[in-house]
Amino acid sequence: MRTLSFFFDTRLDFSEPVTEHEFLLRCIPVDAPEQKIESYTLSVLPEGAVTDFGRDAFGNGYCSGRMEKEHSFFRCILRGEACRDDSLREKADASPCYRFPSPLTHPTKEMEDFFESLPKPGDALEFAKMVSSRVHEHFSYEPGKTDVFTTAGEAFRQGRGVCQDYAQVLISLCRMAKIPARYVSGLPVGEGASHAWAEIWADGTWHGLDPTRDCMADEGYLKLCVGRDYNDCPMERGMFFGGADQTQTVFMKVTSQ
Amino acid sequence: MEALLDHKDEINEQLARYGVKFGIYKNGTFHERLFPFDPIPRQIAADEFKELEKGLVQRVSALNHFLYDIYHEKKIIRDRVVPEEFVYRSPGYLALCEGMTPPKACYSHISGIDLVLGKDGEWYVLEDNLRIPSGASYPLIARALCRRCSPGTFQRNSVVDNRNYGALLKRTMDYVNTGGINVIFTPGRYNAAYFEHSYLAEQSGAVLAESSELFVENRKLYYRTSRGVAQVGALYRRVSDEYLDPLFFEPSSLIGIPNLMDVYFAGNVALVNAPGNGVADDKGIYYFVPKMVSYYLEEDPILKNAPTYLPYFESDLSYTMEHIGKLVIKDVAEAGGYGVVFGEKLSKAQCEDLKAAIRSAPRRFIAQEVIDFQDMPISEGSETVQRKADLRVFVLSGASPVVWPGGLTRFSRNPDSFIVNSSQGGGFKDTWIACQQERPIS
Amino acid sequence: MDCMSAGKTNIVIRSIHISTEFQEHMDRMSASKASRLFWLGRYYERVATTLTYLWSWYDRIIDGESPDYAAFCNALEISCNYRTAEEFMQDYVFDGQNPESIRTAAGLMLGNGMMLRETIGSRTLSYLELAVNAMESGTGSNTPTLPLQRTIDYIMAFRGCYDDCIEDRNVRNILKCGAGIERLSLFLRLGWRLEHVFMETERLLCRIERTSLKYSPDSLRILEALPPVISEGERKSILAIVENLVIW
Repeated sequence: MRTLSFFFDTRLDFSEPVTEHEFLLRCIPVDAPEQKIESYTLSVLPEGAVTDFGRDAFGNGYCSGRMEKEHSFFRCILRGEACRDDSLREKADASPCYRFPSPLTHPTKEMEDFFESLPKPGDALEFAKMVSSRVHEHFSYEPGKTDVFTTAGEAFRQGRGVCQDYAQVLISLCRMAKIPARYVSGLPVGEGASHAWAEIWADGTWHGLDPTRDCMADEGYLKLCVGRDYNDCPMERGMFFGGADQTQTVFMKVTSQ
Repeated sequence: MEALLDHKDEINEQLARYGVKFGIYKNGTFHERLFPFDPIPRQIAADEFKELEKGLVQRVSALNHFLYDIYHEKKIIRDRVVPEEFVYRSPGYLALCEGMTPPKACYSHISGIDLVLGKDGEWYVLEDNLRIPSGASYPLIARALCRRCSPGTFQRNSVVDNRNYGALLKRTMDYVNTGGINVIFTPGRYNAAYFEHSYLAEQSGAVLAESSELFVENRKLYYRTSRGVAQVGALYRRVSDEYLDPLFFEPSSLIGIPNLMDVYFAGNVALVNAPGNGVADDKGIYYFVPKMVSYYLEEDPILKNAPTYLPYFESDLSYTMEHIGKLVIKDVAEAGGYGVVFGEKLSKAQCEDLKAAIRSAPRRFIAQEVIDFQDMPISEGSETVQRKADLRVFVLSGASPVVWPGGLTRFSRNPDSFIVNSSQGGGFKDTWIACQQERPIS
Repeated sequence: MDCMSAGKTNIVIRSIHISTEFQEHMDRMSASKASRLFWLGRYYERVATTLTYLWSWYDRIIDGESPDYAAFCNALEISCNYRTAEEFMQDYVFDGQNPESIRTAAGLMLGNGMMLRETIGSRTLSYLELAVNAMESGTGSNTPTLPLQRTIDYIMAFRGCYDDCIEDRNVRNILKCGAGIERLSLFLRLGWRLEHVFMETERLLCRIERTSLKYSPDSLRILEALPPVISEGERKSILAIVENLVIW
């Protein structure tokens, strides 16, 4: 069991004031037996935004809102405490959608060949761990070579990318082996940028795998959002009126007691 | 009928006067064209239509049950009637709508079912359109104009008056309206069906709006006016699922309404038709529609599908391989695939290629017998020629499905073409449903 | 502990004021719809009034006279790339590719009308369709005034039809305000029918107050104080006030 204190700050600066800003925040921590959210606050700045909470089909909480009046920055600050204990995981079925390709995880011929070259799956979790290591070896971590629209296939071809690409390739390969797999965005212990990893479903529960760091996503990982691929869980998305350029600054810090 | 043909020029003049057009993009620029109208109507006898009506109500009811089931318990998958691949690999399936019950549990408010009449005298369903079926406005306005140009024709023929489509549409929207005004949401003036959007707004009394006139706040959808805002209770959206909401779906969409899906999830607006309907009108799912009728309604399906084979099933695969020369093969993957291929038109090499493609990804294809459908007379200059034609019938579902008595009959321009798409230069006809004869014919 | 307790979040939940009573038709119009109506008014008036102005030119060309089209272009602040009066009368009137032509204005008139079908009605809209079709048929014709006469006829019919058929006063008045401003603008630019300016301004001011349009109160006051006869020297300044009367 680990108690995690988390802080997550997303800031957008606009080069000129914008109005009628609609936003959707998917960074409400998931509350589950293995991840008990003891407390949290989510602040949206500047003041005056109208916000509401909803829950999506993947079980994520989200915050939708609108900022009508002129503003030249937008900030969303999440802080709180969670108690992580993987021994408390409860068995549940995995939605069938996690077994099939999603828009960003359609396998390409190269990925199919790669899959064929892997030892045949026996135990699902052991297989997924092995694939996670192979994905880690296949990739070199290089920010800027991919973006949020890059598919698993494109990232796999160039062998370069960031956590999102690692996770989506792993997910795609696990699904080829008929192992339910899903995308997770969240915050691991440490500080810097937010992170993404994968979960695979075996023996009735979900298991976190971090192919970027080649390890299990254990009790040091705080889940914010899950989905079939990145498209289902961007932490912040918005649309506004105005021709402004935007600069995004993201900072997170998670400590364990 | 003779009389209507005699008034061809007047009718065309009227159609031009009312701007009965559709838009197309050619070399990147937008053009509007008059939709060619043929004055010879398709006529359907009262009894024949009654039977069709029963079949359509049954089919649409089953499809609505299917949509509810797929986004909830998925009994039809559990009971192995529909293999799960056909659902979860369908591009129309929306995972985000899992567990979502639309207002009044109505998914397909406006269904456009495409039928053809075979030479054997049987009607066959070619396609179900449960997303944004378009085309009702054309026969609707054509009827009004034909009555004006040739009143005598309609005195002599007892044709069911179907000019109530606008009222039916209003009733359908009112039934699911969650509180607020009815809005028809158009991508804008440069959409192929803009005429239809504006005409249906006029006919149904709904407000026509583009995304800039609508916004979301407090999980509610509002229409913005110069003196305040009005809540929207039903949105007949003529924008496809992927572009509907740039925050929940395609982020590059500029024609969508940000956070619209949140309003929908909160139950604060009815979307007509429901997002995610594409899973039920997928080419692969089509095969299973008659089975849905038996499964959900415990009735025998009244309407026939064109005989269809799913290479996914072993026996259908071998049939398809043996008879590929006489079949039509359709690629279920919509974009960038093989499209629709007639086996008889393939060279030997092409045929082998296609067979290999089917063998390697059998789920991606369906094979159908080519229906030899009846030709219809078309007036061309002073002559009458024969062309292929289909029929799209509209079923509007409020408290219960209602079949609009009429429909859009489209015909191909080329004599040997089976393609009746208006973008390919085809035209349309009115569809007359004969009134039930009460007096004996003397 | 209830981790989702709302008390722990400092999100501002603001409620907005919504007019639930929505019977007033006046409210049921978005800003973009009002703008389309206004511009529909301006464009139909531009087509009808400019054609009326040019009417006598066709007659003068028969006798070999060359109307001063350069001065005309100058007055309207449009480019003058025409080599002859004939070319001007063909291209400025009929050329749909020329962004400043009357044909283009007619296209914009119809385009705005098409986006207002459910507001003005198919019947009213059909006159715009007819006007444009009539104009289209005059392209390259050696009797251009006949189709142009039909164009003007249809626009007149459109005016009568919308006045007669559209119940919503706001809709009618916005159209008329657009037309009134366009008419004044043309009179003032061309120095034509200046004796009508006083009356047209009176009509406009009386209408604009009955619309949902926003207007500049300062401009309104100046126009209210307009003398019955305006001098040549006042033309430009009045034009600027008329053009900027409506605020978007």
